[in-house]
Amino acid sequence: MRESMDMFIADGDGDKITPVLTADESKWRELVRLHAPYLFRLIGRFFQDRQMVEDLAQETFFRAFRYRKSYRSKVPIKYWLARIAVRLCYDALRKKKNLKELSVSDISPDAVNELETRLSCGNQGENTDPETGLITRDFLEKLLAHLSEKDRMILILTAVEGLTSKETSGLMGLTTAGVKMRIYRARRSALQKLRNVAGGTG
Amino acid sequence: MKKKDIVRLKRFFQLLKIEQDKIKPVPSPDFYCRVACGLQKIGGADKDRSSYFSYPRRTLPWALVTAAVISVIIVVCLLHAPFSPKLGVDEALFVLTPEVIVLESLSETEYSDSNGELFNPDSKSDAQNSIEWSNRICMLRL
Repeated sequence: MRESMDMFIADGDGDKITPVLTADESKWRELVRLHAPYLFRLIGRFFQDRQMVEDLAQETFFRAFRYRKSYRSKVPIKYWLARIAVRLCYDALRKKKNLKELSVSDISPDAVNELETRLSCGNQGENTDPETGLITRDFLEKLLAHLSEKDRMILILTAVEGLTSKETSGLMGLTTAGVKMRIYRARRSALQKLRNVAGGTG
Repeated sequence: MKKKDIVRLKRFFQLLKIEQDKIKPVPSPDFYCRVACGLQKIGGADKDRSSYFSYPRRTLPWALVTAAVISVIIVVCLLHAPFSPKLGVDEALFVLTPEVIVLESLSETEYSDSNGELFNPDSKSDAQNSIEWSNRICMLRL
């Protein structure tokens, strides 16, 4: 288990942090400073809205502080916090879907053409305009919107965040085999959507 | 899945990662302050609470149950007080209704002695007793 969590062992994390989980708030402030950037990046993979990212990161720390006695020192704190954050993101994504159903038909043809060009030639770093970047990101995320929240999260955690199936299964509370199966199905489904939208076989 | 498809999908996720990293959210100093304040509040609330009410969600139901039990005990005590067997006739006069007092007074006259004969514990006659009781009732009503 520990071997699969190597990427969660942060600098400064380890034995000296463990007493934080039963001790005072000043040490928790250190913990927040240490892990907040990672949690922001992780939550930012699922949400564009900055306020949403901040709220979820804040709630992650509050929840961790409240339930600090349930922490097992066998796992790195970063992993434990990531797990709480992923659960919160999952709940938030489910709520968000109820409010707004995303549709690929909203996407402009220009964005489709641009994506097609960038996927074909593999030149992905040329776009530097932040506004265009936001539109492209929105478009890419809409392409994954047809997937279930769980499948979308698994795909992003593995393909974008670079976690292994084992790490993802731990964060999502699923079995490794279940995660692998979901990755396979979700990839196939995403590819089908990509074909339909970007048109053709590339 | 064809190799071409795999490459295409890989590029898609690489592109998504690049676009996400471009606008990577970073915690502001204000965020750290808010979290610190929140942690202080949660910590303070935990210290103030006794072990009996250690979980905030349990406080309200327990308070309601305790209030309900206390109110039931009070109601039962109030209902039982006038009919307590410990009360004598003189004390009961102040709490019983006149009709009950009359019934009590009538039942008191029917005591029997060891020979089985009825006798009156008071030396006064029935007529005198009833006059006395009706006087008492009138006084109470006034």
